[in-house]
Amino acid sequence: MIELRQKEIYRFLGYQKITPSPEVDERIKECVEKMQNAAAPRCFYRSFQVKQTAPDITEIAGLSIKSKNLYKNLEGCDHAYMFAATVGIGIDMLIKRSELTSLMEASIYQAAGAEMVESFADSEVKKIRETENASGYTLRPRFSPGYGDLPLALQSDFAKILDMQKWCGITLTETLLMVPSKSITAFIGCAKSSDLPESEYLAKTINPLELSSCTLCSKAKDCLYKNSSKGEQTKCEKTY
Amino acid sequence: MRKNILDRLGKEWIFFDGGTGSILQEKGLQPGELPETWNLLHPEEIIDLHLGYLNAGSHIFNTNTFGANRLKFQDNLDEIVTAAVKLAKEARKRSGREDDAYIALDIGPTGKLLKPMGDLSFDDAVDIFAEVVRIGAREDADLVLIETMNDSYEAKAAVLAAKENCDLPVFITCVFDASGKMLTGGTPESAVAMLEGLGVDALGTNCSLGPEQMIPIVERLVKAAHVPVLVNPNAGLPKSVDGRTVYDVDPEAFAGFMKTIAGLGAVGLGGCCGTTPAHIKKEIEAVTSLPFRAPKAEAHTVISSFSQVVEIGGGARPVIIGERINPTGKKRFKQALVEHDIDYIVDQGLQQEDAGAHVLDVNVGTPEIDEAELLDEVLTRLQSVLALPLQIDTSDPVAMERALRHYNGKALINSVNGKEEVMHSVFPLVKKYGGVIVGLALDEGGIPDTADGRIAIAKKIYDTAASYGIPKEDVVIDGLCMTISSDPRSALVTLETIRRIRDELGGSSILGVSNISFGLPARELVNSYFFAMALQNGLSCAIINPNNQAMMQAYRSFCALTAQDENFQNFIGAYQNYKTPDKRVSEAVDACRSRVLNALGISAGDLKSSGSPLGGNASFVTSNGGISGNSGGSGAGQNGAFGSSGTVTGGASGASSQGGSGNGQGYHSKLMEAIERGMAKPAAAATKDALLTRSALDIINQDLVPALDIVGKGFEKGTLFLPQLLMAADAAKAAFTVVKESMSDTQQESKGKVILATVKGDIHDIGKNIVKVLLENYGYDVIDLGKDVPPETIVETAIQQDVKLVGLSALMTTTVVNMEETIKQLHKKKPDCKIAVGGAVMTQDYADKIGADCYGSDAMATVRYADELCEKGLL
Repeated sequence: MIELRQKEIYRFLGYQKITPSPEVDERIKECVEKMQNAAAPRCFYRSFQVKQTAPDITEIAGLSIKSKNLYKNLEGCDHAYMFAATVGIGIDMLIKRSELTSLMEASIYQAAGAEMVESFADSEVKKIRETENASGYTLRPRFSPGYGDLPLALQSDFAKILDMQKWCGITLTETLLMVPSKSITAFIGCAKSSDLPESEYLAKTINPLELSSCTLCSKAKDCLYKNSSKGEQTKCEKTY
Repeated sequence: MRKNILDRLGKEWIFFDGGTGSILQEKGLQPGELPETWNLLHPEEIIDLHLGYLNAGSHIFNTNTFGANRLKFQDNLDEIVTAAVKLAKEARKRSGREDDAYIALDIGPTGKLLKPMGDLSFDDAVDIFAEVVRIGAREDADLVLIETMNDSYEAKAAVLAAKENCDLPVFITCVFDASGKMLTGGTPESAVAMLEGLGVDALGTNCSLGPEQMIPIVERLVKAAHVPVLVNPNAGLPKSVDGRTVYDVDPEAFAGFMKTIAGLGAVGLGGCCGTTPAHIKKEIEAVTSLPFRAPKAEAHTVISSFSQVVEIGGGARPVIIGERINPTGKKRFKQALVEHDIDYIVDQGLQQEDAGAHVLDVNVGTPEIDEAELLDEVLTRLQSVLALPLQIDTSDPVAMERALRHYNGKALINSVNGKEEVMHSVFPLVKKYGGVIVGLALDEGGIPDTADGRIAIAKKIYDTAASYGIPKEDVVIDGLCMTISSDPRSALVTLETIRRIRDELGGSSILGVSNISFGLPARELVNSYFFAMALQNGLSCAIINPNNQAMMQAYRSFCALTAQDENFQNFIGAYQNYKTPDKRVSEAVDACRSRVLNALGISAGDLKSSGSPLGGNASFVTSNGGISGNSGGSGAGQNGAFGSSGTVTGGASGASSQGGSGNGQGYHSKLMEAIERGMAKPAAAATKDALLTRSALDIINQDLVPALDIVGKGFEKGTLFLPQLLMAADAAKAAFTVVKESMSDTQQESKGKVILATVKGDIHDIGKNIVKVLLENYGYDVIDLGKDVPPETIVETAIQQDVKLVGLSALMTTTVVNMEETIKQLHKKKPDCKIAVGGAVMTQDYADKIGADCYGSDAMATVRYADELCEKGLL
């Protein structure tokens, strides 16, 4: 069972400060139950050495990646994980079916599915963190292809290097979308503990996934999902 | 001289090789480097890899072609595969095992997920595999081994490609997780049903799990399979240690588990990721110490979907086949077929699943349409949203073949009969694609009027099927139901026939039950009693309307009475709140009475109970039967959305009994209330009520659209949120379905045609679907082109159907380029067509930049834009 945070589901559904009605809560509950049965969470990761020898260039797993944001994210890390997680195609099937019968349910599945894969990835990262902490490392926040200036084209490299199809059942479309749709790939940097603690680090990097507020985001004005309570940590599915 | 592998497999222990990728990594294969390139770059290492396994004693070893397909090797596929087979031959020669080692052309998944979830079409998948098979066969591989398949549909594509492009034996192993599921939901049983139907020579499981975790899966495979079972586990689960992938089961332990697995009845054994020649050597030592034992196959009749099996006859619970997807005698259904309203058809399927059907009959045969095309489309849609096995019902062999080819499972096929010509056109299809075929007990001489005659035809059908290699268990005989109104003895003949199919022929039977009462009144009485009698006489499958209460009552009672409903779970589940018909009637009368009283402003206590129900006054059933404000509505007004409009009192009902023609400020019907509160069932019920006194159009214009408007405005103002808008849209859709049903005779008025599409490359389309439902609710005729739609298709449709508004959705920055391209082409070739765009990445600036006419900032924006165009007369 993957624990889902109700508040995050509300946010993905487009509720901002308002608490939904009991009817909506009931619908969410029913949907989440079905999702728990349909979910087939899988995760795979490998760790690789990281080298940063030229400005904005990060070398990892035989790749040489030019990205300011990734460079900053992995600065000071001697190794990093390439990470992939999914909650499986069953969630997409639920979405597909409900699109025919109820848009409301389809959006609940969308919203709760987004939260489900986040939550599952968090729980897997927690395991990695424990191992790394034990050997004196702290983790950097997950950083995914498509964030900031990190090219989406890296998805193909993740697919090959992690053999994602085989170990997680994650495939890519021609346009590099992941199927199942509720999937995550990311780099997770590991730095010696003398470095900034993880929470401090968040404030120093422009990471759209784990911004400390939405104020830095160029789309915050119109964003359906923005976190209205400023200063509170939030997660964003998107990147602008 | 090597014996054919098929003369050995199943008669002695046959050993496969072990891991390839994991060994090549040890030899220096870099992360992300494609192993197949080593056939050209490091041929000696590949020979060495094979030699390791040949020297360990493997009989069957795999060419290094797991990922070799044109998606990964556009330029040199032939070279890669040819080299792989040559290296395998060289290794076999060097090992001196020419006489007893076999080269398997190894085929892994394409790496893509098939449509509808992914973006690779089934036919393309077959092509991709076929190319590899042809090269491998040309180079003289000894067999085809399809492995590591984690999607049944892709597995089917690969097997078809192999069977159609070579004469080699075809083996296949699939991947199941610890819960016994493939990635896309398949089970050992569903996989076996489909793959055996396709004619594989051996099947089994590989990869994913270690040998110990595989044991329960092997047990299920052996129980279900009729062909030899193969098992190639990993050396445990992979772990990442210092950047290397390691496995935790050593050769000794591995061999121990494999001995257990051999004892369960698996006859082909090897290894997968992480296993080495040492693992295989130990495995061979351990297993060969066991006496060889060929498992005995049980005969059973099974059909399957991608994830479920349904067993027929042989002591299994009788099977309910839903008959509603069939245009015969259904005006609304025919209309849906002609209008290409696939959603309506699929919804019929979902309803029958909810009602308790185990299998759905799919028949779309009607004049005016291309049956092959439509059957294919309906079947593909159905299997993308529901997991019930399907019965493909057509008399057109072309339509049948196409449907069988694209069906994701082992279908029930309806039908053949005893006519030679029909049998010779249908049986080859059954043999090729697999399936359980329904054989009607009639032939050139017509329908025999005795059971003797029908049994004789049944025998002829079995025999002819056998001559095509189709076993008796894949044939189900239809004993034929003819109405008793034309021959009073016909039911008796039918009952005798099905009893004798069971008792004399040892076969399974099927009936289209409701034919029995044709021409009589109160048909459900005759049907349900006959149904129970038929079940008692051994009927295995019944084609009925599962939405009919009487039929399902007969079925569930029968199962409860014959110990076929464990703990009465189904019976109690369906009828724990059962009310007798008398009680239902009296409750309905009471409800009606209190509504009337309420509407008249009289409290029930003021009247003494009266025997004569109030009736005859049309205003009692107007759409405004009297809702008492917010009293019962915990949800209404919750978010401040409905506060101003939520109050309905009995007093208002007088005004609205005119049919709401005034639509003044005070007008607020029960239907409107239901829509605003997002209650689909009450909305449908209120619509039915309203239709008694008002025209469909009136309801749409006075209630449906205004109610949606109230919610839509609330959404736009930000006083209520997307979920409420969606719930309201759901409720309006339910109401609209009822209205549409009532209008199936009349030409429907449309405000205009709108094309919606998610652009090429994008496969997630919920945003587009929300807009679609809203537009439909507002009276627009939506042409939904789906997702991943090429610009050309959109332009062609717009021109052909003269559409003036196109809505495009894109989710990713990477696909906005396709949106731009579509807009460019539309502007050029259909200049009077306006374009609205929306989607997660879209902004007003972006929309302007790519030349869109409207930026749909939220779900309502496109509707507003369409209304605007409509007012100006531009649609």
